[in-house]
Amino acid sequence: MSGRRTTAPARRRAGSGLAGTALRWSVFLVVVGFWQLVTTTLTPADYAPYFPPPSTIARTLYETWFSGPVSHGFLTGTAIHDLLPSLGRLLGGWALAAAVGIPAGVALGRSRHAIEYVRPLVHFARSIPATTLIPVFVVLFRFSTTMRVSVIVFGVVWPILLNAIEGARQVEPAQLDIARVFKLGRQTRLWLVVVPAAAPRIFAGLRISLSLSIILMVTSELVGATDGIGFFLSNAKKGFELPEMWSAIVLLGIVGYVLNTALLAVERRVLGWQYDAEEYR
Amino acid sequence: MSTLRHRVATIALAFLTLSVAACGGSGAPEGNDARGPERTDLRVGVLPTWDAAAVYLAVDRGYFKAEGLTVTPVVLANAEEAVSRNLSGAIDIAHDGYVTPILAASKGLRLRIIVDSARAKRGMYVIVTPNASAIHAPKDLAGTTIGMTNSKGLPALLTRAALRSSGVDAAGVRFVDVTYPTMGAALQNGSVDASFATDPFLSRFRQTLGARVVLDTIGGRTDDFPIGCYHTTERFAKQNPRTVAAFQRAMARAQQLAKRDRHAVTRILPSYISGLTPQGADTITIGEFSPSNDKSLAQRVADFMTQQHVLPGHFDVAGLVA
Repeated sequence: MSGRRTTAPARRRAGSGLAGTALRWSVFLVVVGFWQLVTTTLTPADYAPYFPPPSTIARTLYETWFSGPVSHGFLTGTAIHDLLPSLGRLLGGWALAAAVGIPAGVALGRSRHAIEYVRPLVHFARSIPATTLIPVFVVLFRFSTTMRVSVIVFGVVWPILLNAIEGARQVEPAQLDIARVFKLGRQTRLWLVVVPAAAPRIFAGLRISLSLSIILMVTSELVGATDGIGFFLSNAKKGFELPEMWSAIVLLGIVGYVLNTALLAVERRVLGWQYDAEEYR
Repeated sequence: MSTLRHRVATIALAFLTLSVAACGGSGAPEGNDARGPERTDLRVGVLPTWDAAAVYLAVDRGYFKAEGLTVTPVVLANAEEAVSRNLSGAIDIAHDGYVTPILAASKGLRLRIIVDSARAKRGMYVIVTPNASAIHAPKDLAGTTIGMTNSKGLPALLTRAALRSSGVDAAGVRFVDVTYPTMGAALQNGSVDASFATDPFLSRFRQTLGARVVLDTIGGRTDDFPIGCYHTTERFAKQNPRTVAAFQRAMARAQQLAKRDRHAVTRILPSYISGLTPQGADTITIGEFSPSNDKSLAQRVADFMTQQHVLPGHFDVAGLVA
């Protein structure tokens, strides 16, 4: 697939490579520059500690999280103590939700009747903010990793499930008819027709749930925690270590950006055929 | 790249909101009378603890009115909120512990402590364990996990000091942040071995869990420890000296009333402490209302914080109480 010729829209999308990237990031830089200007000149003295300039935040971010030895991949003790466990719970919870939500969603989406019975339940459950269930999970699992992962899984499984259901329902009947004409078995139909057709929606669900996972990860780390970015954040806030607090906030933004970019790259690779197909429509 | 565009837009919007919020500080002086208070309407944030009763008593008995002030109490969730909302101008004066404003001042936030509120009494801040627990004495707390509402604030400071003076290795005890509504469940299922508790929660843990006190954090060096104050921002104090003085006078009367009349305090507590019944208000353990405005108190707390390594070195509170 990689050896294909580049189509015109694809070429336009890539822009002129480096220049395109620079242009896109220039807006980001202008905003950061504006932020720097506001925090250094306009912020009243009373507030100033609450709004450290981005230059201070960047330095604190580097010193707190990424100034460690090469042998630890530049991670500091704080990063190993707080960032890594958070990432583990975040990705673990998200993967678990995907492992449950996608198969269940595809199965429900393909069944004619089961979905009608399950739908009210799903919409009811997904309306419950996972954060309100933290005390319940504490009773069940104490202040354990299981408790924190459960909060994430419960919060993010619904968008994954619903998108998988909708994706599986939107398979073109004609495609299934053709598959039947060619006498493809159930399994083959599932893997060659249903899953590929549902894939864009499945990825949409995964992307929504990824950012939701970050929120829930932080929230779950505010109760009875001894490590994690949320734990660090709340301690920094309580100690009025405001540049450190901002460094954790920015770190969360970076984590979200990196994970989303990685997921998009995977999506492009997996769904590449679909982007190509769209161009011929 | 729509996600990036979205992100940039969000940041820009957040920025606009911040700068607008920053520009709209507390309003212009309201009173023009040269001798009366510069500001007559005050929003006073209070933590829902027993010593805030003085504010409610002052409202109730008209002590603020007599000074030309109209005070609206606003219940706050926690001590950091007291500081941040005070600095933002959402509240003009905040009822708070001493530890939080001192910590904030040590990081460069400009606050002014204007009224001393309360002192701790023995039996008020204690460590409890559930009935079935194997922990009976302070020494049994070695190596345990203790839940508390603020593992960086006064509860942690007092607990660590009390553990040390009982000969327990405080470094081996883990403190975790747990809110009171979750604490009961956390004690019951063993998420925490023990919990810091004060009334009305202490009484509630006794009733529902048969909780038992294993360590009193007040005693010896921490006897009469200053636990409550009222602060405003440095800017507010400078711009409104007569308002601050009027507030101080009204509060002094209310503190004296609260100190001698426990019954008046009992009656007013359920009006702002949610879940506290009139009967409960009668039996809870409260500390001492401060009789005078002693400026050496903040320094005592700051020195204690330095001893406990919460502050990196000596911190002079002169600017905070000036």
